[in-house]
Amino acid sequence: MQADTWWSKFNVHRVPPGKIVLTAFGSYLIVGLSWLAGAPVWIAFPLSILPWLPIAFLEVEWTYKHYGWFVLFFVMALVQTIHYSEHVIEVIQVHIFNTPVPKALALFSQLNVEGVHFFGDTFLTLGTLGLIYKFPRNPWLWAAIPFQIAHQAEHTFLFWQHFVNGYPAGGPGLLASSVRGNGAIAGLMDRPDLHWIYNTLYTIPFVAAFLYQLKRTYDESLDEAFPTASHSDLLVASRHMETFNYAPGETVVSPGDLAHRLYIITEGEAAVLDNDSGLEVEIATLGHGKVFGEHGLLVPGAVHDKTIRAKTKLSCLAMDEETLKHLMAASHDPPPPMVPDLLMPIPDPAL
Amino acid sequence: MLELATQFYTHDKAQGFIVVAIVCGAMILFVTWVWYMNFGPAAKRRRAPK
Repeated sequence: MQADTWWSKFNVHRVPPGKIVLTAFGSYLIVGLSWLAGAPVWIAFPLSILPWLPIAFLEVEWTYKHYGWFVLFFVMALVQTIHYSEHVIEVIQVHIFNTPVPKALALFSQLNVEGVHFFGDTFLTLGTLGLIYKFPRNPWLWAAIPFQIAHQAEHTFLFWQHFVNGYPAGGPGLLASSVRGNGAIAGLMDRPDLHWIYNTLYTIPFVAAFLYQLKRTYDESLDEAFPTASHSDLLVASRHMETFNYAPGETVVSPGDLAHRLYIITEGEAAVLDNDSGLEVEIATLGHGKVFGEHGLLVPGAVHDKTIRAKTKLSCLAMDEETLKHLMAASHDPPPPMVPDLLMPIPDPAL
Repeated sequence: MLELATQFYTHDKAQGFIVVAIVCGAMILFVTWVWYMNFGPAAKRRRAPK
């Protein structure tokens, strides 16, 4: 069982801890072997990131399934962490280690300073434009985008001059100065400093935008379960819910269990089993966004009369009675869509 | 006029400016469109109670 809080979105959901330890071991092994082979840091470090990519992919897939386009924030945060690190390392190289500006190339930039920065920056620009399109009410994104566009303008100019017009890499661009002269518009300061400023002015509002959205995002299966409830009501409800995970074949509820929770399936499938003369008969399969347990929840002392069992790996959000009543009152919803008459026997009107 | 324009285009710095103007102009247009769709007069009219 796991409480569903805003910071629980940072949990690793899909990959078991053993595989994470194994990946960390593999990553350190690459660093060790690179050091033994005398490989430079800028080759060893990117190589050591490679084993983490499958885990990142699986977690991104999980996050998209549960939180939709919010996943783009996670991907952007990952890329921006690397991108900003490059700029910070460059500034440290220049100002602390007194490395000459043309040789202050951090880690990834040593591969190709113009290519790495142009493609990294273009990814971030397109990602930020995508975020603004999907989350236009996040005010911090509007604060971040002008600085990203300015940074993109610099790299577009540098990329064009280097790859199309054949100028050497590491030029001053539009506003920086270099040993070869000033930028096309002005020469305000050294390129590493100018680009660090662009990136810092983007990173601060981006982090604020990420935290802002993190606190306003809930599992999208709630929208399916309560289609007419407002975003704010679902957000409040999501803070009172807990996540339960089940292995295939594990029983979620059994006949006779006290019905004190409503369950919403967020991932996987569950079988509804009835007892027919001592034999379990599957009468329905429930999938993403389907709900069970709510009829019993609204009847004091009610118990389940069917078995619900995980058919695959199953994740459910569980809601207590108070939260359900609040949601139903707020949304004027009838009880959420479910397999009818699943859990409680209906009294025969003739009796 | 055409000769002047051709000279300007073939100048390396001018080429760079043109490319930057096209790329960043497209981005600024997109951002303005998103703002207009969400906060412009039409969006306000859509949200107003009937």
